[in-house]
Amino acid sequence: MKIGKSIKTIVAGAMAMACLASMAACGPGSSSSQSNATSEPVSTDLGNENIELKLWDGAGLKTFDDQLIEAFQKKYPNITIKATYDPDNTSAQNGPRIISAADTPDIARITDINSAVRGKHLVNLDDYAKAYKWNLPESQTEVYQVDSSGKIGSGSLYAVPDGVSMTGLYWNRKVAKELGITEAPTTVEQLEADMKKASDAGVLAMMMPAKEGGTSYIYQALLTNYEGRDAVQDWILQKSGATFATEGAVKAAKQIKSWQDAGYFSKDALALDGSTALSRFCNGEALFFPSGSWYSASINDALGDDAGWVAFPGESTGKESAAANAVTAFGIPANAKHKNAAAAFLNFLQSEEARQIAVDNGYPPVGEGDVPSTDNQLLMQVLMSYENLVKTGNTTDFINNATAGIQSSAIIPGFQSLLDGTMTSKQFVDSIQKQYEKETK
Amino acid sequence: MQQSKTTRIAGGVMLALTVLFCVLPFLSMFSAALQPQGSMPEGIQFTAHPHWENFIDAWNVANITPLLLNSIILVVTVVPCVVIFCSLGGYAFAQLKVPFKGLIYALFLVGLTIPFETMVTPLYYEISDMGILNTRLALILPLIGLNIPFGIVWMRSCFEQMPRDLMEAASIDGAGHFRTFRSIQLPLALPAISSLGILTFLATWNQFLLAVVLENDPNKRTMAGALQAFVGQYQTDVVLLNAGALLIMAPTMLLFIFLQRYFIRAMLAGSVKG
Amino acid sequence: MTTRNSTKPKRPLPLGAISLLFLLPALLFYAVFELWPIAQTIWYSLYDWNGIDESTFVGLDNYGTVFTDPDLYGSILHSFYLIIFFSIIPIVLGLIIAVLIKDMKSKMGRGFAQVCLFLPRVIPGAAAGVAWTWMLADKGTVNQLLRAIGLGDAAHVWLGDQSTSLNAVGVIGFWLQLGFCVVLLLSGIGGIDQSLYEAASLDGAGWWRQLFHITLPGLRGQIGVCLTMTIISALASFDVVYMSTQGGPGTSTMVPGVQVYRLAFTQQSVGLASALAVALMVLVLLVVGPLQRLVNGKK
Repeated sequence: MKIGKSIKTIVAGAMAMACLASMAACGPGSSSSQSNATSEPVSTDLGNENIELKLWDGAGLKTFDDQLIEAFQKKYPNITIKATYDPDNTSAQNGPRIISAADTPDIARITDINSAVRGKHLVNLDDYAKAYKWNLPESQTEVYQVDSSGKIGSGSLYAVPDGVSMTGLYWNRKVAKELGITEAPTTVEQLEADMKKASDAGVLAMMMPAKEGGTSYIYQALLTNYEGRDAVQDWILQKSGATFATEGAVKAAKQIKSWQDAGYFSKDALALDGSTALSRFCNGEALFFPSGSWYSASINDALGDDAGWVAFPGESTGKESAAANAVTAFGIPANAKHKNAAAAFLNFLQSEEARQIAVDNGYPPVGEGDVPSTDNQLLMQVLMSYENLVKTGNTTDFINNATAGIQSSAIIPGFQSLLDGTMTSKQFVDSIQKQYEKETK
Repeated sequence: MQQSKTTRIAGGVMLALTVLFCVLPFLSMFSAALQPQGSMPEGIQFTAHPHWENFIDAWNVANITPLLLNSIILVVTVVPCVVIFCSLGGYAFAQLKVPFKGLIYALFLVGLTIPFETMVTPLYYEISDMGILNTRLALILPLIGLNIPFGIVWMRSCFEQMPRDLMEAASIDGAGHFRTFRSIQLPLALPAISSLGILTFLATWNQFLLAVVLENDPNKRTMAGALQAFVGQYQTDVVLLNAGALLIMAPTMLLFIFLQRYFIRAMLAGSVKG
Repeated sequence: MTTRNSTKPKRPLPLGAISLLFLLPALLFYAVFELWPIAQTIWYSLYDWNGIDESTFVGLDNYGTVFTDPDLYGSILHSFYLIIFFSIIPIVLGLIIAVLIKDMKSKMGRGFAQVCLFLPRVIPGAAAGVAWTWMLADKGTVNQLLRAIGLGDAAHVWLGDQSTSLNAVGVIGFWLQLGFCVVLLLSGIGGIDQSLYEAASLDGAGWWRQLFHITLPGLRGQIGVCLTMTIISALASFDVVYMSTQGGPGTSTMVPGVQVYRLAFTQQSVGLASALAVALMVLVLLVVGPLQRLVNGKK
């Protein structure tokens, strides 16, 4: 068998074919079927006709969404919503294709607002905002606004959040008490002192799931302390001139590394995923757990009154910060069949009823009304700290969302290499900026 | 064969250790799967109170019922197609006169060596252009195509070992060729066909990347794809994860243990000649 | 036979056409669902494309990136390193195990050993990743065993340490491939003329001499097949790495399979992903092509 020779022939043939194809002026994607959708005039009147809407979201939010849908359908009996859910770790990958498909859902989780708006795959919501008189705080919609030149941060609205996901610091009051700590730290200095106390007593100071990038939450808080909220947000929003390669970023990296060297994290931190970290923290195995509001229900169930939450401390008291964004940002794909009905759902997300459902599911609600009630004491702490943060405005989006690939290609491997010493703090910071430039060039 | 006693003992120990090495991960998962949910098991441990209900919970969490059905439908359509197409094709290569035989065969061989991830992106757009994205066909058709190169190589080597005299006896028409194929050659090739069937079954059943990419609705995916849902959800725990993974492995493992006689005999028939 | 029900003498189809008819279904599916996507991949690799919107022609730029970005060519080097675990060790050890199984007196024992050895091969690779993530965890079975035999100091977070992670992934690959090699080699041993062994025994040749002078030369073809299949699975590994480490810690276990997936679906750089895929494809062909000669040389 002269396979070697045949292979050469085939490879050459295929190459020739590819070249030929590329000579033809059209590249892949240029002939994609654009907007075969019906355009209907913007209206808040949905008539009595029966409409079936399709909704797409991440699987972790099924309970939340199902309750929202049920309440919405009660209000609009002629509309039914059929929901499909993708596993959370594939929804980001499938998202861009789902909202651009010909049979796209009417309401969809927007995973990458940048490419979605640039590709004209989303409906501009400004007219609906006017018709329904939407009034959401700037900090909650900033990242879903895009101007005519494709820059995020201001301009027309393209998505509406259904609740807020925010980062913060869980602490175990019982473990703290045994160490003689009675108050949650309000400055980084206090945090470090508490961690030292725990470590000296042989207690794990901080649960750190570095396998999936869980290091970034506390890091981002330090970064915000050193560089200021606006610098961090500008970088996330890809404003021109923004860079990650700053002294503050290096300083924050050095600090994280010094915690690792002091033995504040478990020795399997690099192989620890978020859910394992959660179950260990729930077993009382650590003093602190920097994570997010999405775990508040589990931690409250497991630790009860011992569970504590505090916003990430600043350099001095009153300078707390958090990364916060939508649990899901729902948008209407350009190919959607029932845009007015979909907009009614986005409007419903901002109602008192929907805000209560958000809280029932453990998420701070959107909008600025009174904080809905909850009997989950931990969630109450989360809600209070969020209310304060909305006032001070010291929240940013997640650095993990700055570009589509930054989390998996730079942040996760970067923190792992920083922690085990394969990279210096400077190299770590540069590697993040390098990946960022690769994707935003 | 003569062998010294020490070699024999050393050999026995080595074999035993290797066998243990191969089954240890299964035992380890099984042990973890029987611990109370939410606990952090350590290594292999024996519990006085095994939590068998974990398997039921894992079944429900991963929503295995529809996935099992999908996987069965997939296998029931893909395997017969691959077996029939490859038997025909392998027969043509081995016993008939295919024009440009060397070149066409080499094309199939290339397919055997192509890393599968290479094709995922273009397959997505191809299936999308065909308008069958998110339907059962979206998985069935590509999986038939992807299993073909191995099947062709396999069946060709099988038919090559069969007597040729029948073919050269007389010039016969198409129907005659088909009759010879069906009534004389095919029965002789049954062992090779059954092992091709089993191997194709494994490749189809265990496929997870294609299912994740080509089916947007998680309920239309496959058993192996269910693992993804497990690992990905916010609230998974080690115990449920292991119970679920065991459930997902169970069908192929049971089938293999049940059919291993045929499986290994077919392989030993010596039909494996790349 | 040729004059069944028509009065006109029916011209038999030429053998070539009949052959093509036999081949047609297989060729059709193969061309549409494998050859065409491969050609598409090559085409995509010349563009800067996010997979959805307009694309820009960039010529060979993507290939330049593949061979200059240490993350990308590094992943290719890792996959070559994995060949040691996926191919070489399973084949060497598989050979010894196969001979041991052949020499077993008890038929039951032989069957049992084969079933156990082959079991890893029948489960989804993704499930193997889950199983071994648990085995190799800080509180997993491997460390438990080490502590039990007094080697507690050697306990490690195997997948969480850049110095051990790639080897740990290799062990998973070894576990997956061993049974396949054993069964294949065993089938080859079955085909070796038994009288050769008898004659050698009469001449006083020992176990090792028989292994090197009769068994090994007789298995050339099977070893070739084992090498081909396992090398491909090393270079194209995806499931195991994806489910156990996702390429981490750092980039220490990143392999081209996972990188292609990540570039295409997470980072939406379909052109770059395609270029890496094509580079991987060519490498596999370059390695496997010469091996085929070894396999067929025996005929």
